[in-house]
Amino acid sequence: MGAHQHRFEMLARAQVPGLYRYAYWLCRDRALAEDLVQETLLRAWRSLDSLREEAAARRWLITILRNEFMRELSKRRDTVAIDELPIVDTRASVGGADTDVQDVRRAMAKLTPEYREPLALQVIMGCSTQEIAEMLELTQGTVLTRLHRARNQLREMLGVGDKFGEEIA
Amino acid sequence: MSKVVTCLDVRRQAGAEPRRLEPGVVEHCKSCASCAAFVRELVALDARLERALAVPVPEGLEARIVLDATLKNAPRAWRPWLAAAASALMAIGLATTAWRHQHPVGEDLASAVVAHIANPEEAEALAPDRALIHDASYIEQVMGHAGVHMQGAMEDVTYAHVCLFRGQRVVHLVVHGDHGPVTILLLPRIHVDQDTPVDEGGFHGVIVPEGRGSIAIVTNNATPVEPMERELTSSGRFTL
Repeated sequence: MGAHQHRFEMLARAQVPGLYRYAYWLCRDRALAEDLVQETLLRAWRSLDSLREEAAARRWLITILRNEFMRELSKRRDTVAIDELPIVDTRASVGGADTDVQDVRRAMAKLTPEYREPLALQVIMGCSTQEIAEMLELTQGTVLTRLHRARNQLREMLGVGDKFGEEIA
Repeated sequence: MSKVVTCLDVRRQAGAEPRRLEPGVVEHCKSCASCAAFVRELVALDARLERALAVPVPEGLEARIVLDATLKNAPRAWRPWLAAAASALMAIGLATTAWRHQHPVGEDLASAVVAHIANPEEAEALAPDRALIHDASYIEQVMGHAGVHMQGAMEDVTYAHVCLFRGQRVVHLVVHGDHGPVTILLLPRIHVDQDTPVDEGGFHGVIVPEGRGSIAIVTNNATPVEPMERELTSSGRFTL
């Protein structure tokens, strides 16, 4: 029990901040993000013995969290689409009064989920395009295209640079 | 022979992974000022992104998760120990209750309400140029998510959101008042025994008991809160 507990605590300490942030950008709701992370770690505790290598922990937890999110979505799907959820934080203003931070968050919140999620996985969780492709069950080419388009849309919304490259992906 | 990297290749690769550039892309940028500038711009954008996406993690979340998982998955043999721990917590709870009789909880709550409203992350809720929310079903769904039921409709609402407040999901509303925005917090399961005035940090108003919870009506302008208090607490409008 002690070793299991210790291993779990190490895992939680290392992964909870990133998971919470990823969950937040998945659902854009602080309370739901917290619930998702809590449920994810609870499930992780129960099957911690199946995790062979610590290096695989991040990806394992992301997969659990995504499944939890999908489960939550399916519960609500009968009544409302995810981007119409009232709990969605359209202000994208969680923490900090920095204008640039708020501008970027607003722009990020405007991306459609198909563009926002791979970008969040890459920027917050440090996932490679290969990892993202496997987790989202997409081809690596599709992930590259989505990441490219996501950044192009952000550049446009934030008024950064020229528009070169919008048509290439 | 290695593939010739074109400007198009650079834009495509840098747009997808600006921090993991292939050697060919790096080489190309050494002789192409335009692509080099493009890559620099994307790296700068990613730095902004990284900062912006790092939303604050709720305080104590890791500890709560570890405790929750430990308790929920504890083996049978641990249960007597957990029962003892629960008894200790109960004793602490009783002591806290006694302390709170001497130090009215309402004052703490008033400070917490003001702290929540004045928090920079909530500042946008009070922006004077916020448009009215005309979709009544949106407001109902916000309330539903916090377990709040309302009879009738609310008018002049410019902001409706579920917030975590003292570990509870609460409804954070802002309505147009006579002299500016007025914040209404519907606080299920957070009870006050009597009307509790709020007067600090430039905010004034009242927290009133409502069912098993309470309602805070607070503003930082000259709008009188009493008429709103009467309207909100009339005939069991809210189930908290």
